[in-house]
Amino acid sequence: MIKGCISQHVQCQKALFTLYAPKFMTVCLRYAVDTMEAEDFLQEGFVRIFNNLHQFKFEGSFEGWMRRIVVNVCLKKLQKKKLVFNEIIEEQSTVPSIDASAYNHLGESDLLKLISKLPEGYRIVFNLNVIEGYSHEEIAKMLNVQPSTSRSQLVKARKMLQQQILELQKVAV
Amino acid sequence: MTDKLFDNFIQQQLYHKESPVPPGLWDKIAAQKEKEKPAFIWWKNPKIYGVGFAVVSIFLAGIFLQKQHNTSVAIANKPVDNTQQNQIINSNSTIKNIVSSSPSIELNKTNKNQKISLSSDEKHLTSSISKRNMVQKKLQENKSNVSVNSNQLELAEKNTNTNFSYFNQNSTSPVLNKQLDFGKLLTDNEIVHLGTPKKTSNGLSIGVSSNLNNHLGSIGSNASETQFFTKSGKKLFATTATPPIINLRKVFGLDDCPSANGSFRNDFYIEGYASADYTMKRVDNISTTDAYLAKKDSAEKMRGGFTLGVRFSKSISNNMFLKSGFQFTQMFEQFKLTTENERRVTTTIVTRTLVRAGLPDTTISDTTSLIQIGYRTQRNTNLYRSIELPILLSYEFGKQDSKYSFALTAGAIINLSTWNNGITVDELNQVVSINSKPTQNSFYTHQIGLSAYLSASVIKQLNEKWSFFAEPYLRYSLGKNNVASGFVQQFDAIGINFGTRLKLNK
Repeated sequence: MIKGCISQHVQCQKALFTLYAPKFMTVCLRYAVDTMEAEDFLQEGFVRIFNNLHQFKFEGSFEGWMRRIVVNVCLKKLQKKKLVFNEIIEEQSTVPSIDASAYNHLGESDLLKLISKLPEGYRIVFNLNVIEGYSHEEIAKMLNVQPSTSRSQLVKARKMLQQQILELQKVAV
Repeated sequence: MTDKLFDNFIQQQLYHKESPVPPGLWDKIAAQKEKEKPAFIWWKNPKIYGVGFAVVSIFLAGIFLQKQHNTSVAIANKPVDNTQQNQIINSNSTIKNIVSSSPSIELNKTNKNQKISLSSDEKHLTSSISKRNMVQKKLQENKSNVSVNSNQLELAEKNTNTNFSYFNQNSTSPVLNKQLDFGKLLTDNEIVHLGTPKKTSNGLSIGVSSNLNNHLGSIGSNASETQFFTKSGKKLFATTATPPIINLRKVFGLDDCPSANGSFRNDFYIEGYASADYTMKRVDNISTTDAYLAKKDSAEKMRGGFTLGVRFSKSISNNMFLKSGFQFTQMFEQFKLTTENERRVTTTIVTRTLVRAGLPDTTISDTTSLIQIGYRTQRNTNLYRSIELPILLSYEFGKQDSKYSFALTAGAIINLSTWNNGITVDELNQVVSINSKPTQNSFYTHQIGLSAYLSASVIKQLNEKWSFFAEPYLRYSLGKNNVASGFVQQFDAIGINFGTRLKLNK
């Protein structure tokens, strides 16, 4: 299928799209503000995948290679919007520990919604570090910031997310 | 729950999560792909260069083969000299060399006295009469009787065992516009009667008759090929519509034996050359950020280069040369990186002595730190050096001994070794070395790779041995390096080789 895509066979490209688009849609949704923006990211991501597929060396995970391209596209699009890492004044310095059972009520969609509510800088660093697994040094390179900035954004993002989960739990109760 | 557990939980939930894809997205992607299709798709596709090179090679080979073929025709058109003819006459074979610019030929052999009559249209005969006179003269020298009138050319041969008819090798019919190639000599005491050609629905047919029972010949023809056969079915000759036989030994110059038109060109040259190059760099992003590449690009500027080389050149035909040797290439790159927020701290200690009346002097030391915040600019000239092996095929226009000649050259330049010297900036905005050694991990990978080479040159012959040449060229890199650094960069060059060429053989 990959070779077919490299040879620009439309059927192979469509098959690749059908196979991976749902997963990458989630990736795009995590970075985008809304579904429309996520759709734009995904469209651009697949175009870039098809254009650069001949550079894939058949080493390592193909899905990982594609995911990296999609993430890069998302970041590039967001950087065009002048990505700002805001310092948000925290009302509460510490978040009470959340009981593991609180997560039982949390669905994937709920989590996705909570993440999308995070401020842009927090959301991107959180996505890159926690979900994609990039180190702070790599994130710093990708976003052209200091690694310390990445670390602090992650801590704050995590704290804010935990707080939102708590509030959601209270509402549920 | 710890942060680690929290992170793991989120990752497990979301890493493989699938979301519904908006309908119609594939159509949008297909449309965008079509729209973004580059106008010059070949520019980024190295395979196209391979095909292009093959086309150029085939074109050059075509010119060469055409020239070879014309040469063989020229050889055949040369008049038979007396010594050759005498040998033919003295043999026991009948040799036919039919001179005519028209296919409207009639050869009648009336009896075994070998009296041959050739009839032709007057207008066609006129154009070939001089050649016939020449043959007549030759035949007379060999005790042959030849009579010529406006419509008929009679050849009487005294020698009962020898018969002549002479065909022009490149006779062309103005009526049928059919080029005939009578390149072979007939043997076996054959006398052939060729009737007037008749045009048929599918081409040319020529009636053939002979008084000799054992040697009745026939001529068949179609639109693409005309062939001549003896009665026994033996193929005699064919028209030029038949593709020429490719003599590979001759093409590659393996036969050193002289051909009929003189000795085969078998020259060796050594060429020394030097050029000033205008160098260019192409950088493609693989997995790094555009911001980093933009910063790197702004810090680096190509500053030309030079090439020195020696190569051997061997003629593989009268016009084709195979060239190979070694060359050294060096490219210069100016690196200039300005970093902001550079701090320099200067500590100043001021000592003063206070003199007061009635009191001992007091010494006061005051330490002051002066912090300067500014820019720091780092400059360096980076060097990219390579030893390379060019393998080139060149086609030279013009005669061998002409004062000026022109050549087209195409081929590949294979990188044997590359070493860099200098600095660059990495993704963390740090200055790093690009110095490379084969055993050392470097910021840049070691090999530059393969390049395509295309040039046109002017050669001025100074004397029998020495020539001077100027060779403008384009060199396009096909190999890629620095994949490990998240990007690839390729170096191209245009320049003019100036050099001298020494002929090594006599």
